[in-house]
Amino acid sequence: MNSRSLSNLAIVGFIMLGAVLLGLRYRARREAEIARQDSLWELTYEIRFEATTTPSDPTSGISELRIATPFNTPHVQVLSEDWTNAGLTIERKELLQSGTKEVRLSTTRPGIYAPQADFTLRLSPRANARYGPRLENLSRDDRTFYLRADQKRDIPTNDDKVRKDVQTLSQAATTEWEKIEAAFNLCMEIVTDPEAAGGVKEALANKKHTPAVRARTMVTLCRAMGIPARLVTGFEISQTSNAVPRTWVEVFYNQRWVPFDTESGYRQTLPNDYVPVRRGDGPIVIPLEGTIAPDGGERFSIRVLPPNPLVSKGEAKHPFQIFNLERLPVPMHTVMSLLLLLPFGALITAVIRNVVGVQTFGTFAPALLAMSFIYADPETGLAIFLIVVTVGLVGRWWLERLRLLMVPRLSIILTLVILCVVFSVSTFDFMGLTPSAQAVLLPMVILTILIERFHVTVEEDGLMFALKLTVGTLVVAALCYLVLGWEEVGAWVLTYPEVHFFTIAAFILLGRYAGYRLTELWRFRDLIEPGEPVR
Amino acid sequence: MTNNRRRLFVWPHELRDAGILGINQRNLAFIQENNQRTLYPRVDNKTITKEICHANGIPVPDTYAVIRRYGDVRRFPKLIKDRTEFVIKPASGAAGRGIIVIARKKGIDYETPSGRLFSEGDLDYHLSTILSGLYSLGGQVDSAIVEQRIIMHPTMERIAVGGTPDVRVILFRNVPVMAMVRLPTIQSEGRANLHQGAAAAAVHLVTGRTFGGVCNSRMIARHPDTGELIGGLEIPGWRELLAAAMKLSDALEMGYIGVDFVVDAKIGPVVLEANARPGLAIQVAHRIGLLPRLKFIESLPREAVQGNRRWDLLPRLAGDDA
Repeated sequence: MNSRSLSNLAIVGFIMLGAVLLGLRYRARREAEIARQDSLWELTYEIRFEATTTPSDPTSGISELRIATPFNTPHVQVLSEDWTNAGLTIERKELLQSGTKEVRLSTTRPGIYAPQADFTLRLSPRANARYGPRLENLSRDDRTFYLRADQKRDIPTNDDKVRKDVQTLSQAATTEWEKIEAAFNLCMEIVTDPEAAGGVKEALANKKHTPAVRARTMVTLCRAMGIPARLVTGFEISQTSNAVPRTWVEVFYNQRWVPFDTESGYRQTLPNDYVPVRRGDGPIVIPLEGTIAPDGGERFSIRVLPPNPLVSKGEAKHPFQIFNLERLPVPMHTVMSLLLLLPFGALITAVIRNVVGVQTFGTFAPALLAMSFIYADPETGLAIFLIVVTVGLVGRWWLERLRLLMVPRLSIILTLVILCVVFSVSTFDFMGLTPSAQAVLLPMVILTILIERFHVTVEEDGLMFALKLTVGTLVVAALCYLVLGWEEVGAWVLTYPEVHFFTIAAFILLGRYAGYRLTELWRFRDLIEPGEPVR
Repeated sequence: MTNNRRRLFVWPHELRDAGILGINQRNLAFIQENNQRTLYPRVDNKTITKEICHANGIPVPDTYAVIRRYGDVRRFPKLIKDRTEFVIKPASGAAGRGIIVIARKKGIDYETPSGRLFSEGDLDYHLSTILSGLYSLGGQVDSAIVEQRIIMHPTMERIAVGGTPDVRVILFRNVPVMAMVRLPTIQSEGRANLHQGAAAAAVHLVTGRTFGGVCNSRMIARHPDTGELIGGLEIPGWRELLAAAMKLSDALEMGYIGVDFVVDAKIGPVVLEANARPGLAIQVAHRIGLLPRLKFIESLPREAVQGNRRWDLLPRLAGDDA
């Protein structure tokens, strides 16, 4: 296999490896994150009821209880359902019109029963689109059903007072949506009064009533205006030993059931922790004939469950944690991310040298210099850098006269550089400028060699060439400084060090770049438009 | 023809269409493909190059001494046997760095052709810096060569400023593909390296006659310092020079090299050094790209690029060269 196809193979390999590892880590992090955000809850129904025999047929009467179970919503999911119902026959049924899932417990034997249901719910801030509001088509029967007057449940759409109010509302509103909004606003004007007697009619007349009646008022008004509406009963999830079901309204608008919470005032979108149980106009537990639910015979409670084991799993010691750099103590993060950023500096260097064609002093000197400037604070770093370079160059120029061998000569410059750094820090401190001690970590060996290289280049190739290299070095160093100093990138590369597989792929790509350098477009320009020689 | 609206840069496809070889392509497709890494010392170390030349009967300047240890530095006058005319150069130097040419003795000091004086201590120091590796590639410990000073052939004098012009031949698969004569300038301080500001004139492969020209990547026709025309000059001993270049290329076993000669007034062309990374400004001197010539050689069967059959390729390679 020749080097080109091997290189291409390596590029593809590194990119794929990087993508797979990046994907794996992203998924693992996301799962842990989700597990942290989600909470598990247990909703418990405790029901006590007495089965009696019906007067008409004392021997074969059936007592039945219809119990609605929680819906899945985008934010709440029912994970499990567990019934304890000794001696009762259980039957499940999904109601056709509303989709409410009912559990029907029945018995033919009189007596007192105490069934219990436990639901595990997961509450999550992320929306699961699967359970989102769906577009529906109401059949003619459904439409009639959701527009009906219901004296038993106190939805008096035919009442004179209601008709009058509806007329006023309809006059002011032109569109169907404005009518709905107007009805909602009217209901929200009803002041809460737990002691208020009567029903919808009284609520409209006195402008005060209980929240439950307020919801019924909204349904009544909508239905009277010819807009299908229904009551929804459910829970708001929070730790409580006695959860009171709350009731809100759903109005059919634009082929969707749109929720309105007349108790708290939410419209169109409900808080994440609302879980509907029964859609349609009834309570959660409906006793049928022959069944008496004694007062306080149903008790709902909600309690929070311990979190998903995935969350705590992350804390356990495992060799895979070696690859998780965020686990390291925070003071190490700066150094680690700076180290991990250095390949990006090398990438910049490679691009500038091989694609642009700018020459620099030393290969990685500019990137290392930039790195030390980030680690120190830039002001102190720059000040000390200038002092060091000035003193170093003057010292080097003077040393030339001593004619020393290379290593001792370099050592003298190194000593000079170190003394400069130390006493600059001391001077700044004396002047009350509080330098950062990290400035001491300027790469002194690199500075020493830079000074030597600059001096030799001036001597050998002339000042112009040396200045050209200096400009190139400063440009690369400045670019590296900008990229390496980018804190978001640093934090990101610490989280996903796999990204360097892409960097390696980029290096291979650059290493196989046989095209012209940008500077060559200038250098060889005379070959394209020959014309006269310059002289 | 005057073109006042010169463009500052050209597009890559224009360079590609003109067959211009760029640095990246030179490194990847020619140097790395044709020059084995293990053979590099043969060109990077001039003592080895000289040994190879000796073994193959290729003329090189006489070696007076090779100084490898600091101890030898003090014995330097004895080693050169009181010669007053010699050249000191680092064995692994690049781009003409660290070379001192001594033309005569003035009192107890040594004098360069341009009149700069070096005391014995100065030379000792210079030799020490060479040994310490200041001029060597990668700063490795080096040795210093003291060798015969070449006396410039009178033909060259007209275009030489403050230094000795040298002739570079670029050989691909042992076939000369382009040649130029490199002319020191004031800017290059007597050295014949184009990136230091030296000028160059292209040399016709068949006739050995100069034409074209380049300085600082711009086309020139006259010497930047003297204003003399640099074209139309005939390189003395051109056939011998080409023959020596091919012989050295054969012996070095490297596929893409530049061989540098100087033409001595008495002995004719002698090899100064070989270079595994010859520069690309030669294309500007020729006003033509290298790629078509390299592609042509690549397309030839092995037998066509061996022995004396190579001479037959030269007219074809030189093509339209003026």
